[in-house]
Amino acid sequence: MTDISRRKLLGFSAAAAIGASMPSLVFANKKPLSNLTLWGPPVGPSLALAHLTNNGNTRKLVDGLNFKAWRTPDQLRAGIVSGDMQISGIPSYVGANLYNKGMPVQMLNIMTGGLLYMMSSNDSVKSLEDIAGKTVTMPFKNDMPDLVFQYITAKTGMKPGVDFQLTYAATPMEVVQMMMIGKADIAILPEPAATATILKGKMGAVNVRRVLSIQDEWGKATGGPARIPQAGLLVNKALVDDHMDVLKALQADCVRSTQWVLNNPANAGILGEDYLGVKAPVVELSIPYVNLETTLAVDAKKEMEDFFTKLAELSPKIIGGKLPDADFYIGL
Amino acid sequence: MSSMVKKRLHQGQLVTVVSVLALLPVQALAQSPYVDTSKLKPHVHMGPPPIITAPSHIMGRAEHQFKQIAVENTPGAADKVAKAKKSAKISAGIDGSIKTVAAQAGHRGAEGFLMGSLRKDHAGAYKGDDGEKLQFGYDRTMGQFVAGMTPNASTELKFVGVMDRLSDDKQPHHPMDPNTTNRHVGKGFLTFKNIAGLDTLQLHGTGIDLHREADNYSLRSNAGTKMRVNVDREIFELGATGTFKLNGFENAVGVSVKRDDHNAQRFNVTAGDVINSYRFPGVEQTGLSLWGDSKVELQKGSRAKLGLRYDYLTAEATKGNVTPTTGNGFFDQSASALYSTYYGVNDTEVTDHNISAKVKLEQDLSISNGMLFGEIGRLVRTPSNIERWHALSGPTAGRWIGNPNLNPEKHYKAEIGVEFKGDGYKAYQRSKPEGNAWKTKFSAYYDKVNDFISLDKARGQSGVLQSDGATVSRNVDATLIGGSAEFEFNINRNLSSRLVATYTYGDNDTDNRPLYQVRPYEAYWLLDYTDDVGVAGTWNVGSKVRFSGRQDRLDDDNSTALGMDNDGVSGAFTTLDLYGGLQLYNQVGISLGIDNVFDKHYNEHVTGEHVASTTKSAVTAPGRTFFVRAVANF
Repeated sequence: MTDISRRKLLGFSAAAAIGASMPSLVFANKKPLSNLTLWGPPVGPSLALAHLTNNGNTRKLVDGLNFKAWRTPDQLRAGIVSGDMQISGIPSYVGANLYNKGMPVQMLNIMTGGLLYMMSSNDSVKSLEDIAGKTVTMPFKNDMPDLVFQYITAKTGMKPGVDFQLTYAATPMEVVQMMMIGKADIAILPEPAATATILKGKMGAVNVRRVLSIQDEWGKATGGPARIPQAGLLVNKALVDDHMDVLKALQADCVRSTQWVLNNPANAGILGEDYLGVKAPVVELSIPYVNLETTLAVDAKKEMEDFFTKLAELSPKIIGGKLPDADFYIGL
Repeated sequence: MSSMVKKRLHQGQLVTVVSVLALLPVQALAQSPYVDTSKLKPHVHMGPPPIITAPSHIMGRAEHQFKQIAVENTPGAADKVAKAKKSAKISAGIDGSIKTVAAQAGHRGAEGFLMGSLRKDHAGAYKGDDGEKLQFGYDRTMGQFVAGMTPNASTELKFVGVMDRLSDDKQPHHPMDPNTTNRHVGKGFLTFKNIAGLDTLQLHGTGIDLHREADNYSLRSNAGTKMRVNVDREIFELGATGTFKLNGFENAVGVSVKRDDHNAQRFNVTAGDVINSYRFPGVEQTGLSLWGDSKVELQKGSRAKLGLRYDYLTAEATKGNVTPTTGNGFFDQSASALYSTYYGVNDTEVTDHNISAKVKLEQDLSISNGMLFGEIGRLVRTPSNIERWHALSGPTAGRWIGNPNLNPEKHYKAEIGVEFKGDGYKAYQRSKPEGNAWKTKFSAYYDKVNDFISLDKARGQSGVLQSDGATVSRNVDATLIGGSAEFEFNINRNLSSRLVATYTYGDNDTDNRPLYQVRPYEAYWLLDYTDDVGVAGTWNVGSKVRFSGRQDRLDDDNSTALGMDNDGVSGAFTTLDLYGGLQLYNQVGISLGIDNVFDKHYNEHVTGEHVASTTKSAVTAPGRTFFVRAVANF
């Protein structure tokens, strides 16, 4: 099985993971839960988590419900492995990998149908085929954007290094900066970095376009829906065992808050600036492209398994060598 | 202190941010100097109200001359609709006797941007203290456009046009009504990055055209002598600003030249529409300003800023020797004759050389994210045209004669302040996920003013040759002291409260009397709550209590002083405003409320002047007032 590398965990942000934590406070079901922290990366689905900590019904079951954005993959990795992060946003395939490695974790839900886009400042690039002979830049080599893009291009018969070139950067914002200074003109980016590229381009006379949705291309390549069950909440099993009532409320709040975010992008933009550290206009304008929707993991099981199967075609190690069994998917 | 208190929304300056739509950048139009003497204003504002710029077109409350609050209601749920990143927005509402409609649209692409905004206010009469309707009202049309090109990442060309047309502006306390006040402003900016060794180079130009007409018969019944006044003023300015870094210092240098032509005549309509006074007698001014700023981080958490400025101005009353020919000796006096009569001044050409400087130190504190600052400076203000060139002839007590002999006003000002905030504080009603969300600020200033330009009544005092009660201008020494305190607390992300208190003291040291029109101490307490409307939107409610103290230090006797202050109807007063709002889908919203819930009868100590007037004013502020505004975006 592959290890959960720093780069892979960096991919969480690219994949819009969401997370949570509860610092070692798993009590018997009868005791009220206190000081539960939901962890999430600075991307769209975390907006729903931030919102529900202020307005959700879960607050009635938890004395001290908080949200924190994790800032580094090391922070996330340490939190998950130690159990300090009892609920954590995470790319779904990473959750499967951890589960298959024997970590006591389960997937509560999927909160986005994919938020990857091809952005370009090259007017000649209008479709996937137009990258032929050109260089594509993306963050996080061998992680979510890269894996998905590899699968899609392979299905079209294009080979990186032969039909087009691939270059990598450490973070999405590094790719954004490369596009602004002309060092890159085609990029695969997650939201909200994709929207940031457009807005920064408008300030800097760089006309960046959203060329295509990777979700759409995924659908074409797989013959399935134009949707990638990309990320959701990973929950520590002890919390599942002892506080299912909280998880039920949390799932209901996630559904409600996701809808609130979609309905109130300007308010969500401010919430995002305050909680995630991303500029409000960027958050606001990215929301229509984040494909926010909250689906209980057990209800998304088939779609997730299809996704894991496609990734395993590239390398079974990506998901820990096998499909996770049914216990991985929480049903409430 | 002024930074502590939010100015009224309508008091935005033309050169401030014009970003009103999603796709327009939030950036200053001009690179403002740290020492900006152009922002120094006379002690009392006398003239058209400040221009309302586009950011306040959609949701900003209408300007009300007789209601001057320093802290606005907290923006509510509906403001999110106005500020959403959408291409077009509209609003309409009623605010007591004032009706407002507004619309904006804009677009920004990588190659450029375009924005247009329009607002129209119609104000009608409201009931005064005696229950009778006051002679109050106006019509106002405000427009603004911004257009720009960004041909490459290093170059931006931007144009801003502003229109403000105020008509039928009724003045219940004054013998004339300005029935037309048209202001048109055009600004252009060409900005380069990384050019000629500079980080940025900005070339800018400004043109301002003002036309004003007032009379004493169009908007009121007048069986006596009918008079009218025409005012025209054109201002053109060109300038350049460069920024660069050197040895850890961030520097900016700038130069600007300015031309200002100002004419005004008063006519006796009854006598055949003949000129009976050259109120501003062809005042032509040419100015040159040079300035330089520098700021540096002295050590971690410690910063310094320094600014130096030189202003040169030469001015002349080109029509100073033109004499009205009405046949009435009170009126038939040239401006030059009046200057000579009142001040012994025979030269209608003056030159000022003003040197200003300011330095500020900031020190971060180790407790509660604290920051301490201290600032000292010498700021020199050239006399305004009213103070220096006004030449209103007529019966002596009605005369108002400016003084070409005035020295520029020199402020020696020191200010100190401190601010603390909790780790969780982001802004009022905005908390971070962790930490206590509160902020508190205190500041105080001491301003010793040499050659303070004081309006006064002619009593043969030093520098004034007549004792006829005419309004005159003279230099005195004065002291201004002020302070403010502010505390904000976000109890949680739904409930917040805010306290603001201010105090100002002003003294005419030369004459040993209080300065006129000094604002009394005031305090504001706001309590705001916001929550969701299911998943569809948000709503808010809030309250604002305003307490205004009684100003006991008055200049209310025109036999010994200017006599402009009025003790008012109520002296100290307290008002309560209630407000709320609702928005759905960030697309439609409504804001509504009640100002002055208990219908308190009061008048502001500082009179809101749309016209030049030194007479006592005790116009009652609006009583209980209902307002509602609907807003939508597309």
